Amino acid sequence: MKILKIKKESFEGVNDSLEITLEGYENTKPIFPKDITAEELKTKLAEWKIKQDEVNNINADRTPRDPETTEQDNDELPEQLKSLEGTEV
Amino acid sequence: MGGKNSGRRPNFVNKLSPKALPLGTNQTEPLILPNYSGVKKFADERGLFQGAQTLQEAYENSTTPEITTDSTRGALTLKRGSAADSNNMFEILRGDGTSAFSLTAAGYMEMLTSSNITFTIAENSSNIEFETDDGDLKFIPANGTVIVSGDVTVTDEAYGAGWNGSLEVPTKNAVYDKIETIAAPDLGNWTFTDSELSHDATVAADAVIVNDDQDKDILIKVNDGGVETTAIQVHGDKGVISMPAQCYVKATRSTDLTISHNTSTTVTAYDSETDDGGNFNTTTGVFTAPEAGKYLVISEVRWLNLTANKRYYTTCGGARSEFYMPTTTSFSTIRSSAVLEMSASGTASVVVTQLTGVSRDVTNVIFWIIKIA
Repeated sequence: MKILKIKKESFEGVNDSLEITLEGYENTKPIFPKDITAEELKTKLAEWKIKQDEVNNINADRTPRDPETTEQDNDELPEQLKSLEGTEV
Repeated sequence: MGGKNSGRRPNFVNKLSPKALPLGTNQTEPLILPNYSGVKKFADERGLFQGAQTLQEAYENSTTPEITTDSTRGALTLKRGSAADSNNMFEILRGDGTSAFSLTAAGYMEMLTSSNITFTIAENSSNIEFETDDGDLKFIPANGTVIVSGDVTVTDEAYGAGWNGSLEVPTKNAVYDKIETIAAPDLGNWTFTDSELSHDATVAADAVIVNDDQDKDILIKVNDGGVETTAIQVHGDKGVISMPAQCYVKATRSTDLTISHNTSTTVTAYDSETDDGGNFNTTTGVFTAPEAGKYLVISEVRWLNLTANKRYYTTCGGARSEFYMPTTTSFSTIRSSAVLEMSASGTASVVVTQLTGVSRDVTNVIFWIIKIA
């Protein structure tokens, strides 16, 4: 896994961080604290790669979601209303 | 007939007409035949026979070598005999024996000369005319041009009310001058130079282009790869301006995308798009600016299963938006926008990041790009 680019990034909560571009992962870039050491970075990247590969496998298995279904998502409905689903009125 | 000179009498004497001799007309007078000398003297005095056996001899015997025709005998004629019509009937040879002029029985005339052929009309009001019964009259100089020092006139038809009736063929310079005149009309305070129309900066009046017909639009068109395309359309009735060639993108990804903790992830694999100009790559999710300018970029990202008190980021073409979710909720949509000053071939995409500590999904990502200036 080759590091293609290390770019300074700044997120609130993770100030002065580093965004790493890795060969084969150009669209997903891990972010680490700026003061991380080289040895720590190598270890963290190895861990990140394992998790990212899992995420990529998940994304590869995705099927398109119907936008209309999503718009009608009622997860935010109060419990008393959600319980009405499937009941006769 | 039995005189001592009868044996020397030349043959031509026998051919003399009896009427040409001073014989008695009634055949009753004594027949006194002249001797040879007398006959020759008689013939020479009357020019009856010069003794020429060839045309050359006739020429040489002539004081003035000419033939005078009269109304009885008519024209002097050369008639083709056993030769073909294509054979020469009349020919002028140079001193070296080569032909300078020839005329066949078919009427084909050929002049071979290294000097000018001049037709001179000495009398006034006379023309040199070349006529053809059927076919063109051609001047075909193999190496050079047809040069006319006077005017050349042709039959023609009037091509406008301003036609002055002249049938003269114009020269190239005359045509050029006319084109120059047409190409540089009076444009008032405007000047047209090469490909540029300019308004005089010293004039107080505004530079105005007016379309007085509300049913007509003002169009500025371009050639896009051989296809004429309207770039700017000013509608005549309302003055509304359309720019149909201006790039516009609306791309949608309806598939869920899992985002790792603290990982900037470019949204890719869009599944539908409107892309006027073909500048967006749905696979990579990257928009490439066709020209430098200002672009309005808008993104809409729906996060799923948001964790309370965590931060979510959307970077749209480099402009970052932050969203803080104070409570746990099943989904929430973040819309961010920016006006980007992009260079030609500059890129923009939607990048999402979240700091929840675990992976989170986004879905229904929409990305708009509109060039505004």
